[in-house]
Amino acid sequence: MKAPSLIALLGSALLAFDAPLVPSRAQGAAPQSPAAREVSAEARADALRADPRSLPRAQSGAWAQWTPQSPPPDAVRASFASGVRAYQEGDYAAALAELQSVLRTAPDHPGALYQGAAAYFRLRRYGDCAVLAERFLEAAPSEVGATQVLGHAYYTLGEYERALAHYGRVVAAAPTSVEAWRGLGLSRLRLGDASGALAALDKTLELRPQHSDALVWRAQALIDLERPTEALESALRGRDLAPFEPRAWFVLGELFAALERPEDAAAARARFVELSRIDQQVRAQEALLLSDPRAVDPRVRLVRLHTAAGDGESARENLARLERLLPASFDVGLLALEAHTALGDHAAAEAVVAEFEKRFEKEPAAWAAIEGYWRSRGDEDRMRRAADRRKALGVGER
Amino acid sequence: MLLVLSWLACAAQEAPALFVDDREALGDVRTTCGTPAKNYIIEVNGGGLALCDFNGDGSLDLLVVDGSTLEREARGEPGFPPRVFLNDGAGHFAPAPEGWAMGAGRWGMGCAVGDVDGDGWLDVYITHWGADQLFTNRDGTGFMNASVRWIPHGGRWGTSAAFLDYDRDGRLDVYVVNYLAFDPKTISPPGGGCTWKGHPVMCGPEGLTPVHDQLLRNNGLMLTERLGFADVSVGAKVRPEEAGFGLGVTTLDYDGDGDTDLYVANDSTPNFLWENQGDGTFKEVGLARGVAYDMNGKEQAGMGVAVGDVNGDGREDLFVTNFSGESNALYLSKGAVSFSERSGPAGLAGPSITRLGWGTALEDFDLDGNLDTFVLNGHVYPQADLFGTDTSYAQAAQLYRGDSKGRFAVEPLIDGPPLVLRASTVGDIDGDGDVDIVAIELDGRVRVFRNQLRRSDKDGPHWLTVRLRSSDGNRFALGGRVWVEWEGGARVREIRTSGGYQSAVEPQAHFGLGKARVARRVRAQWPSGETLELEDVAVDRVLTLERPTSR
Repeated sequence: MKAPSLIALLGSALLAFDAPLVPSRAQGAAPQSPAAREVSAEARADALRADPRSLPRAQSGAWAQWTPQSPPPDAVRASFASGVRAYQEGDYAAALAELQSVLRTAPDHPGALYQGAAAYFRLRRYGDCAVLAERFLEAAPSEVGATQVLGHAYYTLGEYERALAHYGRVVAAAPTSVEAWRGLGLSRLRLGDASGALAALDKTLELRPQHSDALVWRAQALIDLERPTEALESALRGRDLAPFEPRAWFVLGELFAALERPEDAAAARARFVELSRIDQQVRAQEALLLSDPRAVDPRVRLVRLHTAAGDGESARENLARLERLLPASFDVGLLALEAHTALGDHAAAEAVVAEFEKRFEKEPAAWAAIEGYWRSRGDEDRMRRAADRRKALGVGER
Repeated sequence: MLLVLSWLACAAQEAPALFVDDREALGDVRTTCGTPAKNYIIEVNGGGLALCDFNGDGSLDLLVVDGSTLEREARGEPGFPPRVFLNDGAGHFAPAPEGWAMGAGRWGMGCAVGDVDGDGWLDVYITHWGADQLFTNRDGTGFMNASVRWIPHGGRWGTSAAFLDYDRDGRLDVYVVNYLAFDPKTISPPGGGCTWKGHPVMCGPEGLTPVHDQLLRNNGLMLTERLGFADVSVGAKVRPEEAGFGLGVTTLDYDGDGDTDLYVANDSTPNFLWENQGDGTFKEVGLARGVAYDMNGKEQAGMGVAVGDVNGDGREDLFVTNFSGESNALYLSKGAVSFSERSGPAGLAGPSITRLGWGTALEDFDLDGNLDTFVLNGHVYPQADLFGTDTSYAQAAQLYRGDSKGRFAVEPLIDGPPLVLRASTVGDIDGDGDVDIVAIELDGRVRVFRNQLRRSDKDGPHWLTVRLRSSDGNRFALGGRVWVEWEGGARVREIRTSGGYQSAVEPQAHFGLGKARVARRVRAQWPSGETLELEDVAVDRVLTLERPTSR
């Protein structure tokens, strides 16, 4: 039986250049495996400082028998599993600490090279990502179809020709690699080949019709080909699928203007500016989380920023991270109530209220929050009841 | 045979760069901008430059704007004064005599050049962190500090500035680009929480407060107490909803309506395109015209700006240098309606991404009839040399040679190790017809990059420089236009002194003509509307055209 490829095992390694990775399921690191080991701050810092070029090399052909199903050598099994788990938890420095340890003991272990490359990509260290991804390819050349991350690294470093060539190799080996087709399309677009870009993006959408980013880039290719009506259709579909992505609105503004719809253009641009300002702040907070994934303040700011944009999905995602970081935290509950209320998600907000009533019934601040919530809903009865509970705990009018 | 092939291969690889760092041209002239540690953002931008004929001898002189240190500042001492170096005509600069001495301000940044008093001599506006300065030119014999008579009191952090006659009254106004509110007492040093790629670095510009730019209208000097320049920013509606971290500026008539518009490169905030409404006011149209963001819809960290008709379609395009991790941006004009960001297809994007660009210009450096550009690079963070940054502090300067299709091929600007470069200015310093470059190395020398192009008047490549003059008002015709047609090409250039980064150039239009021994047609339009057309114009010379008396 033909062994499943790394793509099947690891999932589509990168949904989008900046999107979260799909949790990997490499051997020894299945989702049900235990949490990553605690890695000291010093070890994490050392891992970030380490130059991947200095990692020891294996003799040529040392991993010739390796397949994605091969278990890691016993000596590195625990480190490898912990590294993959740290990666899944978004702690890329800890992941690197474990994976570098694997690579020092078992030089050029393909699984560690692959996961290390992905970790460097997530840390926005594209040159280091390319170093490990290239070494992975040397060690496991038959797995080229799983190495779209190398194309992403080349692309992000501005090496468009190289990215183009590599994506070409990936799709030849793995014709269903959605992100490689998308990368191929973007590389062609960047190099001025709009027709080629359109073909690659169409292929991306054939494989994943709801790929909002590909739809918007397809619109860009159609703009370059001076087909604005089709471009508009594509951009609108992309916008509908990802309404909080500034880029869709940016492209729509250009398209509406080209189609002499000035009011629509102005509205799209206004929305773009609004989302773009939030997006800039989001990126700043996300950059902080790269070096300290357990930091609370940036995560709180992300919840508020996504809420301000109306992006409930992203706000909830960050709330969930906070809840995992600070389980049963009253402050996180307050933040959740604030976010759900602002997003108009009454079911979720009422679930928080119920949780507050159950778990913080002796807490005046909880009743104050509940009172505020029912006030915002215009439910005077429940507002009054909450106020009474608050007063009964000895706290006056707010 | 193998040896010969091998030698040929080596020779091809080692073809010398088009420019050479000519250490003899200026000597060991250095500028100061804080300390090499770069603990504060005030210390990273460097000074400014201008190559202009200040003494009227026909050759381009050099103005160097110098900075200061926070230690001097703390001691209450002024910064280092700007300096003038006169050109001997062969591209060798010597310190100008005493009459050209310029008083020091707080901390010099950039400069703009224009004839503010209409006397036919180029004056200088110096931007500062602190009060700006204006030096008027005393008939080519020296500069006089006329700041107190001309400039409203202010103490912002000015970076670039541009002279223009926005209201077409014949007097040159000035647009001053401001960066941010800087106070070393309130800004955290490195380790104070500001990080980049995981490394503690100096803080800013994000997190600091951007400061609005200023438009100063030239009212002329009257026999009254009134200042020469009045701040008309609010009345002229040069007040965006949100200020940008301004660094670069250029003038251009992007919509071809005859009045001068302004383009401002902002750091980490969207760029501005100020469209002149023709009634003394401006409207910001950067987003609507496609020049505020990159093609991803992301704001970039704009530094320097260049303008030129890259694809020969008769409309000037914009080129902006940006931060590392971003590509430099080429905004191709699509007529009066908008621009399209095409740095990728033009070959200007990829090679720029790991570099941080500053000084730039669009000129025909190899005189083949196609515009080229260069980018001076160098990071703001010395920490760029640490792990995981995908870049470095010192970076190679790049020359991008353009072809007839508007595509560029990159090569090193000069041979030698990478440098930390900042501002640049351009001009033909040695009168050989090709365009040379002067650059500021941060914490280092002012460097003269001499163009080594081999040419002869007999075999070419050929060139033509056109200067427009008026007997009154806007004497150097800033905002005028020159169209040149030759066998194999045509191009338009606007007369301006602004562009690059914190720098100024001589008000003239330079054209490379390739093998054409004659310019078939030269058409000039003065900002006041008069035009002049010449046919079969001799080349390889500077052609000075006086404004005709009637339209």
